[in-house]
Amino acid sequence: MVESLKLPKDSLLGASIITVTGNTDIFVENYKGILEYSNELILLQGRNCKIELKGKRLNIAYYTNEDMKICGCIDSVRFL
Amino acid sequence: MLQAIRYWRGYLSIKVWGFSAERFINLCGNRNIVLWDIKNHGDYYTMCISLKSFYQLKSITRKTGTRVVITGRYGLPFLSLRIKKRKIFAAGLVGSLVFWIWMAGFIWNIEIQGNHYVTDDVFLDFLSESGIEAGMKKKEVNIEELEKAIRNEYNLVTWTSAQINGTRLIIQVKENDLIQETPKDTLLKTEQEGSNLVAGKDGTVIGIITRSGIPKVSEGAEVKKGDVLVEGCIPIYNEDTTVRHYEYCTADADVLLRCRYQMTDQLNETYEKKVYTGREVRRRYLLIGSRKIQFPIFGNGYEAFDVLDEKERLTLFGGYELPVYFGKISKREYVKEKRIYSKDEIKEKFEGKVQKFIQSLEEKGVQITGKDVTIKRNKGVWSLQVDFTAEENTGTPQKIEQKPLEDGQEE
Repeated sequence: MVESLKLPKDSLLGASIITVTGNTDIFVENYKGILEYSNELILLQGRNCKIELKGKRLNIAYYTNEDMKICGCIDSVRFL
Repeated sequence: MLQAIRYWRGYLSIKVWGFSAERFINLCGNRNIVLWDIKNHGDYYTMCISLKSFYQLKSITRKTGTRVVITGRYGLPFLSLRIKKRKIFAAGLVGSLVFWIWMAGFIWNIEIQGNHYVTDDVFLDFLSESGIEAGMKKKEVNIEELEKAIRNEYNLVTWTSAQINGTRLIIQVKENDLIQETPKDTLLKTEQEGSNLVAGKDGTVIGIITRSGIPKVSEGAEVKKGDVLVEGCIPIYNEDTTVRHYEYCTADADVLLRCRYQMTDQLNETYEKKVYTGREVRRRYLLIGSRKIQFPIFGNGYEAFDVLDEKERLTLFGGYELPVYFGKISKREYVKEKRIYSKDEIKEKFEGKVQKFIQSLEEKGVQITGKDVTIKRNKGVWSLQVDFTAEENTGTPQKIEQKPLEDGQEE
């Protein structure tokens, strides 16, 4: 129904938005919180699912309650 | 730019470790606290947090069971902590800047350029009468009115321009030397009624060249002051040699007159000479406006002394002149001694005076052809008498009274 009305998915469905720039930056919006954070693995909790980011030397450039930016060498993005 | 804002507000770098650091980060996010530069060092995390948010961390750490340590303080708020102890310093800095800018809105120096006939002092007096003085506000100076006033006051000034340069008011003036101030009234009258040329001094006429009018004297004639040399009234004769009417004109001629000038002078043979004892007192002083501060204060022990005053004005960057002067005063003591002039000294002194007199005459166009000098000494007083023979041009215009026509000849 949402698709047919072309309404934005993130505000209505509560989906997270992940913007990947190259393999160095990831910009994530609309999440609930951080579950795990280490140098090689970041686990985020979205509304319905979990987001797993794997890589090397992962740093969080900034973190607010709305968005966050992760810098580093990204290997993979998985949804769990 | 973001970095600048963070610096302005102030931030801290902290080290977080403990049970669940991720929960710590989550809770910060929930409470709208911004964290950045989060790095994972294995056991602990380092991140930056704004100063304001730091105060809310206490409750969060309690909840998550983590410990927080400050590793660095950055930003203006920490600078001002240091400055708070020196508030006066900061205030003084700002105050002096404000004062300087305020002072630059005044005129501190007035300069007049290009004037020869009108001296600086006369000009400055005129300016202060018109309300323009050193120390007035720049805004109060109305340049156009000033220029008009200057042109009105001094006829000799043909062009004037005033400009404000920094704190200096520079008035440039151009004087016209060619325009002579002729008394217009007398000129008009003489044109209508004619004028005679009369002698200005007693003497002997050496030569006369008449350009207009009828000459009344010839070479060799002795004249007295006021005698008519050239008449400006020309009679026109009828056929029977009676005067028909008089034609008036302005008499003009070059009359060379030999005349005498006399000069007398006296000098006392005893005089007081200043003999400097060699004792001197020097002091430096600071003059601000009209207040004078000397260091150290003068102790005046001399009875008679000469004062030598040097002062320098304080100027900033060539445009801002302040009414502040540095100066040096030195007082030199002297003792008056009675001395007697010798004959040679007297001669020298008189000679100097005679030369000055001759110079002043020559500047007026008088030529000295001979001089006769007598120096006498009488009861301690030397007297000088000089008789000059000179040749000069003479002739001043004098208005004619209308001559009545002879009876029976009216037109």
